[in-house]
Amino acid sequence: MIGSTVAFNNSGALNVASGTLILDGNFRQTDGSTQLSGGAIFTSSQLVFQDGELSGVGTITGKVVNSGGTVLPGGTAAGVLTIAGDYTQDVSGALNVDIGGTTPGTQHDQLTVSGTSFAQRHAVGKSYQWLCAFRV
Amino acid sequence: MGGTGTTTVSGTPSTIGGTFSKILNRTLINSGTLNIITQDNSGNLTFGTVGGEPGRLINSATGTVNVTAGGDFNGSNDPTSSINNAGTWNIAGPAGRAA
Repeated sequence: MIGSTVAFNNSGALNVASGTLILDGNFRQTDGSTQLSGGAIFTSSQLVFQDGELSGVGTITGKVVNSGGTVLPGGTAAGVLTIAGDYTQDVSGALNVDIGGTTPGTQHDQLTVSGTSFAQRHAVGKSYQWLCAFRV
Repeated sequence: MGGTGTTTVSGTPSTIGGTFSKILNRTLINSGTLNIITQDNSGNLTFGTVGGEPGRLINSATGTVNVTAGGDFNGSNDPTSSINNAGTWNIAGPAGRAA
């Protein structure tokens, strides 16, 4: 756990392989990468990606703001990245999904958002459910 | 650990562990391998216990930090404390545990 008055600033490689990274303070990524490879992230504040990548398979609980980074569900293979919270993607942010079939998680990537999702730029065809959100 | 200036560790590896509470009121730079093996709610590392004396843990571009049992990095009286990772920060806590 990282407490509320301790900011986590990432410009390197943050790898969450197991367990849950609990962030009560602000998280900001200005470069580099955050990868979920079996672990999870919980934030009571928000995760802000100004640059770099957010990738992998797993669940982030809390608010995610992609102001200039690239979100890659699954990473190098198809997978589902879940955000149990709000997801905001600004015009400089990107969501890259691999598409190789119609089955989410194995044949194509999927970003699942259980809160409100707001994306200012869409660049993927409509035949695949690459973004699953309860409210958009 | 307090006072002005910085402390740099570059050992292979250095370790932060033990059940006693630890205080960071200055800048600690890791440029080697740093293993943090403290568990949640046991032997936590508290940043900035004195106002105006922030704790800063900087993992440089050549550094690797391995958090394997929870870590528990607590904030305190100085709100500008931070962790700055420019290297590699690996979290491999037990399943279901905070890491």
